[in-house]
Amino acid sequence: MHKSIMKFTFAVLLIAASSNVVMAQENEDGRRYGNFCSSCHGTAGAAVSDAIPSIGGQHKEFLISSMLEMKPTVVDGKEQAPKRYSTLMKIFFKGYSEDEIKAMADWYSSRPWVPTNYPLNQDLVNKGKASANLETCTSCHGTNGNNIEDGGIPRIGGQTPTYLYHALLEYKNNKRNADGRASEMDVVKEISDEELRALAEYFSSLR
Amino acid sequence: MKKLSRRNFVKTTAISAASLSVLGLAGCKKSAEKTAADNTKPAETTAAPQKKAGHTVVIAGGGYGGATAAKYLKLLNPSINVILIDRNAEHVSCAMSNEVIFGLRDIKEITMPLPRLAEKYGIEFKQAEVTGLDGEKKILKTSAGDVAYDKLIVSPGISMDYDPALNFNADRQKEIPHAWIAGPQTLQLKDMVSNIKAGDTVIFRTPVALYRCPPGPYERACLFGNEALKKGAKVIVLDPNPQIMSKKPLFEAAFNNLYKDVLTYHSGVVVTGIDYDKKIVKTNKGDFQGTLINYVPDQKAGELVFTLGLVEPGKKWASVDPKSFESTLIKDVYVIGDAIDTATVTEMPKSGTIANATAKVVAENLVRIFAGKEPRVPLVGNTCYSLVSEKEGIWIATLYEYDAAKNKIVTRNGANGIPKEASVENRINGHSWGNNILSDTFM
Repeated sequence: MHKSIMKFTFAVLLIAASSNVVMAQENEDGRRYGNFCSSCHGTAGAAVSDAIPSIGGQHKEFLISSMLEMKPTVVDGKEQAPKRYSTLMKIFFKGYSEDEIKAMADWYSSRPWVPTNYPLNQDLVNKGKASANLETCTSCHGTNGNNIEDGGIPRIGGQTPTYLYHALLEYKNNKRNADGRASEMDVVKEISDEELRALAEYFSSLR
Repeated sequence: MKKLSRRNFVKTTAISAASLSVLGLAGCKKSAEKTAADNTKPAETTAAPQKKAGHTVVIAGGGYGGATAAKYLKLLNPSINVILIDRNAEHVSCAMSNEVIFGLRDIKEITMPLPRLAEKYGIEFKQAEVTGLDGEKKILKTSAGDVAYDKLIVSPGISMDYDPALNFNADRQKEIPHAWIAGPQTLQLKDMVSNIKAGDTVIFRTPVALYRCPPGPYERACLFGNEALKKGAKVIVLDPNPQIMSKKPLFEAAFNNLYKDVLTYHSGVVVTGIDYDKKIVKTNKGDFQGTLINYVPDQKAGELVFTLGLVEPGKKWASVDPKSFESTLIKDVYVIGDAIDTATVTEMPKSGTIANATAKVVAENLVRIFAGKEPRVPLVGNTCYSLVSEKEGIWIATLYEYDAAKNKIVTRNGANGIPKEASVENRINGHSWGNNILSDTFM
């Protein structure tokens, strides 16, 4: 009898834990700061289109460093160009403090990672899979494009395809990796745009 | 007896407390509901609206504001009853409808069925006409019967404010589609555009501020220019405003460079009459004759907010408290989207992104209020992409927050900007933005 009560209580607790308690543990400040981001990045950061990245379930450390590198800094009252290239993200990060950015990263990284459902070009996927440079990528990003050992390395398996391609071109053109940052990505400078497109499509296809 | 380690103890008590409070709340809700029902029952002689147990939020209008509010209320707290009402079973997005007019998107891509959204999130959808409001008893009157609410969100968008001097009767309105509320008029204008021939002249009249989508008229002007270039036609843009109202340097660059041979832009134009047969637009800057007239009228809030008594006498838009978007006229009624009086409460534009972002703020705050928590002040962003041609795009980005000293929603920490120039990259990102905001709002 004692055991069955324990079992029942445990079941109730499990149900509570799986619904409301998990909800209550959300970083509500992060959700508030980043709630409007989903209009471009998809609900809870799961993008449905091809050129804007999914951010829900992305590694927290990478989210923080990305956002801070896109944020313009002010030195002696003068606004400095952000370390990392962006089109409009630099505008938004100007409006947030470092702590607010960390709270947003906390919330978005705690959302589920939803691999892209964007229709992929199977021909490109196959070319990417056959690329001689594939191992160069997987050695850091993992064979499934999700290296969980190092949160600073972005999750790219299932990421949106055109975003991945644009990101690779940015590394190739020194728009993200100036000043020796992410120097390991300098490897893409030797790879043709065509092959980068195929590699991007292949990593998008990973689940 | 099994020993509880400190770690286990903390875990268990935390979960128990949480589950108790959840059960407790549910119990409270039920008994409160029962009392309310008991109190009202004896007085009821005619059929009163049935109200389910728990909190009920009714949303009138299934566009960017209303659909987002419905979805996010359910995402944040599935136990809230959410009833979404619209006169149409699908919403055609006004954002991206310029692309449909010029053959760059299929209208199917921007046509969003509301029952699909409702089914996915457990929202109750009613296709009905909203006819009135009893703010005291908290009952919304509709063609499908009365609907009781705890909180009402009204998001009706815009309606047209035709200048009576121009005699825009019903036939004329059909003849000269504005296509500023997407739907059948979008396709009608698309047909007219596809028939533009060499030697034709398009006369495009933009609306006076405030209107839906500040960059929208200039995007449409550019796309008319793009069409004119392809076909050997001309475009005359008649703008009643003193200047280009959004992304000015970028649209100016497009007018002066891309379209310098085919497009003429006139600002400060007051249209005084239209000869509908000869297609002559008479203005304070002279008469303009064309082969296609696209006249976008001035605008006011969606008729619904006037019907429901949410607009102060003599005003064109609904007044809201900028802290909460609650109507200044009727308690527990919130107005969001294009219908709010932007001029007095906020710097925010009338855009789909703002309607979407504001809806999330209101949804989050209603969930907090129902849970006995303090609502939080609005913090929202606006992203809006436009095309300057079929190849290149531009954008504007702004972060807004409520400022207590000004009692307005203002730009946060100077976070506002536009790009240096139009680009292919911006067009590609803009296309993705469109698909993602449709999904975030309607799917």
